[in-house]
Amino acid sequence: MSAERGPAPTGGRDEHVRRVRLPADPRTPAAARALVRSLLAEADLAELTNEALLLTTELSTNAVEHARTDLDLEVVADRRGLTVTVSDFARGPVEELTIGVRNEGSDIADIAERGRGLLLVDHFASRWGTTYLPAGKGVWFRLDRPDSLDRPGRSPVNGAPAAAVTGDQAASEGSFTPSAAAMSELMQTAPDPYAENSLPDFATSLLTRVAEMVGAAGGQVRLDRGDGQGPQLLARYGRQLRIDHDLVRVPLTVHRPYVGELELDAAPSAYAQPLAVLMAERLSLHLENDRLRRADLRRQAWLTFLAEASELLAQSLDVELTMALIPQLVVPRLGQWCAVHTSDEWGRLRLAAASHADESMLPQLHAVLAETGPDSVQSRLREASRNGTQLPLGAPTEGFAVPLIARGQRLGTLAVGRHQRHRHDPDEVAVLEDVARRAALAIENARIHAERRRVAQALQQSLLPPALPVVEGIGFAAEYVPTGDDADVGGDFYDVLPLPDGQWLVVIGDVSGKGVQAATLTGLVRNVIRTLIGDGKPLSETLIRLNETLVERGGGRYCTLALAAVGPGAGDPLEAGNQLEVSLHLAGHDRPVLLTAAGTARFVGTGGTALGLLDSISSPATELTLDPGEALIFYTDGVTERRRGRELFGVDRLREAAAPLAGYSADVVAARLRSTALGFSTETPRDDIAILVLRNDGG
Amino acid sequence: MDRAELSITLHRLGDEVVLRLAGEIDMMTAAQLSTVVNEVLTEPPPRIVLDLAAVTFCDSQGLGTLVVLSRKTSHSQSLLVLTNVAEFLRRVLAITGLRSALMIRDD
Repeated sequence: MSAERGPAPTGGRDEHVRRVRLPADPRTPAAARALVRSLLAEADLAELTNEALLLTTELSTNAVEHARTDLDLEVVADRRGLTVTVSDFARGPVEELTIGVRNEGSDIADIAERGRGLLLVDHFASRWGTTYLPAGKGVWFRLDRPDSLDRPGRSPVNGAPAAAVTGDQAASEGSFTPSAAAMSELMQTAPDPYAENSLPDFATSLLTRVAEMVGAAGGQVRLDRGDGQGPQLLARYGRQLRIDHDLVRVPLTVHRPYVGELELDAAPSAYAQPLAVLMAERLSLHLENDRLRRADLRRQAWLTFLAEASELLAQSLDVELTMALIPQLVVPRLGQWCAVHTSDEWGRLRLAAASHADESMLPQLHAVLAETGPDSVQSRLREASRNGTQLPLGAPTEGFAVPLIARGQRLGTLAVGRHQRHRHDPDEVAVLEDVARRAALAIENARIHAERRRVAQALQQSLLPPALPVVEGIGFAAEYVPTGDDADVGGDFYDVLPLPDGQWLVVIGDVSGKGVQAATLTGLVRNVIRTLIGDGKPLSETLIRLNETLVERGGGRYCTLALAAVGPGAGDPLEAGNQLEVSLHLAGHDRPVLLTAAGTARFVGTGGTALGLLDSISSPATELTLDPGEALIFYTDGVTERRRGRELFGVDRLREAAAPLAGYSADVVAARLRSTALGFSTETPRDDIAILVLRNDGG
Repeated sequence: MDRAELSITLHRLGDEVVLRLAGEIDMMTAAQLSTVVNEVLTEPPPRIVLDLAAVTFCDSQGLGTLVVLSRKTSHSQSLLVLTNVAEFLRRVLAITGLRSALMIRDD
């Protein structure tokens, strides 16, 4: 509808107003006529008498016949015309007002007896309509003097509309003309800047003011935020709107995904439309603010989510764990369900993990994921993986198939089911892609890490002798514990090898640092020793040559080493009850523990220079004899520097732990010390641990 | 309290029964008109003339009554004729399309 321009507010100077309450009685229309007649005379509007009396009669007759309640008659006359409002107090919706059809035939048998009242009102009135008042409803009409400049165009006499009409014409009434004060209040209404959610209150306040200003009995503002909840009532005033009524409808000027509308009951004021538009504009401005603020918050929330997801994924260096983690991150924030498939080198997909917001749906989800065929989820996933692009999943498993690609590698796919109630908004789809990217990187990282761990373990194994030699009368035993970070290669090593003169050489060492470079150096040290010893070089010379090699090629790394040549006394065959002679060289290495058969433990040996630091070294030899049952315990600093908080295991604890082990075989001593060292702390070892025990098993 | 007044006087002139109406026709008085015409139709004359010269007001209820009475009259093989129809009522009859369906005698 469009608002008609009504006469200017009359302000009351020339206004004549009569209000009277009349009973539901057949005499009432005559009484109403009498009142109108007298006011017309008073206002000098006699020329409108015929029309005014007829229309007043029609409205009051309708009220008496249909409402059957008292009725209020209001007659307002000014210099230009008069307005008559007949309102009743009937509860419930107004009965449909139907403008009867103008008779076109001449056969009296076909002619309706009733239904001409509103046809006449519609014909004669300048404007007319209905109004809803707190206590009931009313019908009003306006008659302007024929010479009134503001008389709006009317529909032609012979073309009266035959539609159901309930007041699509606006009137201009003194009582419904907004005052300057009301206008200024309307313009100054603003949302409470400190309230948590001030929009509903603001909208209600605006709506109430406008409805009161124009005399509309009801109104509402509906807003669809595009969040899947559909149109929501933001504000409501007065009585419920009826859908089949002509209402003042003003769309709110907001941007997608927001859509909203202001609806106002038809009101007897020419200002209804312009004020509704004004209100819609004011409200829209604040709704736009709200939309932007919410979009901002949502994006912030997604950013936080992504950051947290990244952190979680980054912490997991285990492939299986990473796979299991991804669906937990996605469901239910980004979808109803989620499945991760991994891709093997031939591009075949294998389900790695799946999750559903509703646990009981999980078997069904697995069944759907297991389906094969051209329209199956699997086939879409293969397509997404092959094309490297996101694809929608069709009904009934609606959602997305997102490829998992990291560093150009197709690792698999991420399948995400749509939300139960609403579609994904573009932000979410972008977030999903981001999650997939991060997930793919995490999987790739975990794979690389697993690979590295395998390499490290293989390398470590290669640096230790697969098995120690079994020698009659001499017990050899070793224990090795890698570092807690099992992807790293430690620098500890040990070896037992035969000497050309029939003796055995026991080697234990620790190359500074960790990792592949340390491992390389360990390999070098081990091989140099084997070569030189194999050539029959004495131990002291072996150490000097090794030092030179490390200074030249060690790249700043150094090495501590304990070498012990062990064998029966010169000329003695290895027989039970014989002593073992030991020649011990310590190149910067911790002194070994000598454990006697009686259970005393002491450190033996003289410290020498670590290898790889200085051009020349000193490597004094210590000559020992091991009586039967005596043992030498070698170890690396992984044992003595094992930490419990700020406390170190230390050499004294080692010695104390060794003493009770007298009488046990080398294997047992090594194993017990290992468990004592490990049991010292709950922390995983920071450094690798090596223990080597040499025992005179004779006797 | 004001109330609608309608007085009806009956005159027989040859074939016609002339009913002279004076006052207002609305929901209050229309029944009165019906009663009189129905009485006349117990022995229908060839024509019943409603002389509306003194009718100051007639609303849609009055029009409806005229339609009903006109139909009844023709069922009784008689004719209902309106005469001395005032200008405004003529307009109302035109607007409602009843002018051609009711028999109006111009004097």
